[in-house]
Amino acid sequence: MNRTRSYILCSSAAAAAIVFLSVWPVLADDRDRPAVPQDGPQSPPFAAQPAPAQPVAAPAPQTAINGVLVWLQAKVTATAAKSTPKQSQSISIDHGSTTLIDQSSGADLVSTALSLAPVNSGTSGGATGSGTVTASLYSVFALATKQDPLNPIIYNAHAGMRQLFFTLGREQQNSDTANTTPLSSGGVASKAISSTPSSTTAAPTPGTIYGAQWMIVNNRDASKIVKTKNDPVMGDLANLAQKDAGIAAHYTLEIWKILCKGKNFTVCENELTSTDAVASAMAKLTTDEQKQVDQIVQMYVADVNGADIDDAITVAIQELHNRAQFSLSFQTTQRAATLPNDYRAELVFDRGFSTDWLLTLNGSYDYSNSSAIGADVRTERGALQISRNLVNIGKSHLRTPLQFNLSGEGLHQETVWHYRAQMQLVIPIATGVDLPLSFGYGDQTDVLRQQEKGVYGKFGLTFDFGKLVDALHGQH
Amino acid sequence: MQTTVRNNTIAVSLSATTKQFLNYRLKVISGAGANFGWADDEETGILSHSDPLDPQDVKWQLRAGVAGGQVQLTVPQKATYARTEVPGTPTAYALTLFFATAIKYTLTIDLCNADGTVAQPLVDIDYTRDVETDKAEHVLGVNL
Repeated sequence: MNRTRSYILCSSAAAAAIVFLSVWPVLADDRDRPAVPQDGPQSPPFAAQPAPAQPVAAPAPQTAINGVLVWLQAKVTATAAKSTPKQSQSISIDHGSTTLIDQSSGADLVSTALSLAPVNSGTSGGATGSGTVTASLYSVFALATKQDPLNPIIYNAHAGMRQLFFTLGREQQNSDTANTTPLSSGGVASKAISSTPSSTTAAPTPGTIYGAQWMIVNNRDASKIVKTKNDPVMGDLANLAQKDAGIAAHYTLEIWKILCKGKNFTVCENELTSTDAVASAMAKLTTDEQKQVDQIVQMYVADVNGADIDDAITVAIQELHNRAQFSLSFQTTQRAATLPNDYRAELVFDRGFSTDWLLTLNGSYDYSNSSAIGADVRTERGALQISRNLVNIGKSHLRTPLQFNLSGEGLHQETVWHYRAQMQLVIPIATGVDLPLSFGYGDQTDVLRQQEKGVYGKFGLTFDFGKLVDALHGQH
Repeated sequence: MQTTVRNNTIAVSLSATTKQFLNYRLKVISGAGANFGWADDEETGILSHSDPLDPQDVKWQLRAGVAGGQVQLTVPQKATYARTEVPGTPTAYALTLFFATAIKYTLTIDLCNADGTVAQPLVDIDYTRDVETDKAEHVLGVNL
């Protein structure tokens, strides 16, 4: 497992004994004592940062860390990254969108996606970008009631409102008059386009995009998980936490009992506030007492390794992330005058698998309603995407991981199949701001999106305002 | 994980004769709910987020009393937990925090008199996660 151990400064001086347990084998080696096994995939890190000496005035409250290190088994994996993707790019009916796929859920509050001009659009002229804004019902509610949407009480009380999302935007428009006819998403209007040549003689007003999405099955929202009674994963985490706490309490006390033997316990314990203080106290022990400490350390190591709590935490959290979600989506592009309007009814399913992988499936029925007789187009569409979180950039939990997506789309129109395939890299620029870069190939001009004939490239910018605001809150 | 320590006392003397108690409060500052386990040095799990407590603002007490010349420790929020020790026994209670559904906690522990007044604030610490797999431990020595 790709994981990085971290050593964390502990605020609890009581853990000085645990810290000592961690470093004791090293000290023991120096005195020709048998070393306690420290390495191997199951072993915790047995090291501690040096702590500055500090005055202690026990039992008066201490207002500083006092240099005590808490050794924790928190690990920083490459996955902080485990955050599963939410819809931040334009919805799929926008033919300028940088993604082929719709995700099962959107941003908690409001997100904006700007799809900039495509590269090698397959047209003789250029194209303007498109843009959409997506808001959750929760964000509308918070705005209407003038409540802080990031207040944990309000946030948790209205988790259900984060299952409904609305989108409004403007479609992409090609500047080449040969392609200024509004193109329907996925090419569903291609027939209508070819049948309405007069509409290509002047640049029309870009169509307006509307969308609504309802997340029917919501298994990954933390607020819902907390409210679920007898959630097996949360039950596992509860047992793990109690197991870990029991080990910490037991062995800390065992060390205290040796170091504070014959002394006022409370005063003595409050003096063991650094590894230096613990080492100093250890140096004064008799040989028999030092042997007792060795035995405690060995049992501690065995218990910690046996419990394997770090790996169990990772597995449990991964299980939460891998839960399936399912949504219904309705999207439309409404255009002026006699130009065709496009409609899409879609099923969206996604679930994680393995570590840091996500599979998303879309199935939709598309309809282009043309004013021209016989020009309506009906299309069945299927799309899938496999996503992989590559690495977390920055330490903020709000930062999107660097993500690689591989997607494909197939359209069935009358008796013909068409397809597109796309690779995408989503680069986090800042908290709440991402840069999606797409590179793909489409097989047909006349049916699929015209600007994507052959090889094409797209890029855009996405903004998640919930994360931006949360990050600003964190700075205060 | 990041910690901000405003107050931290390693160990405390808990008077059973005056019925002192420890008042724990684990408040979720950011996130959906607490993920925690609390256990004693006998490795008895006492409380966790699976117990019917407010997941946003978890409060519990460790109470000391005298019964038959011995110290009896109880937790009102966990009726099944009772521990009897002779006076003078050192004990320890540890709290482990996970961050699966929480981002930031504030942990406070006060030593309280029988009437509920605070005799001594012992602990006031913030824990903020960097990643969901972070873990934090806090051990308090409780001497009877």
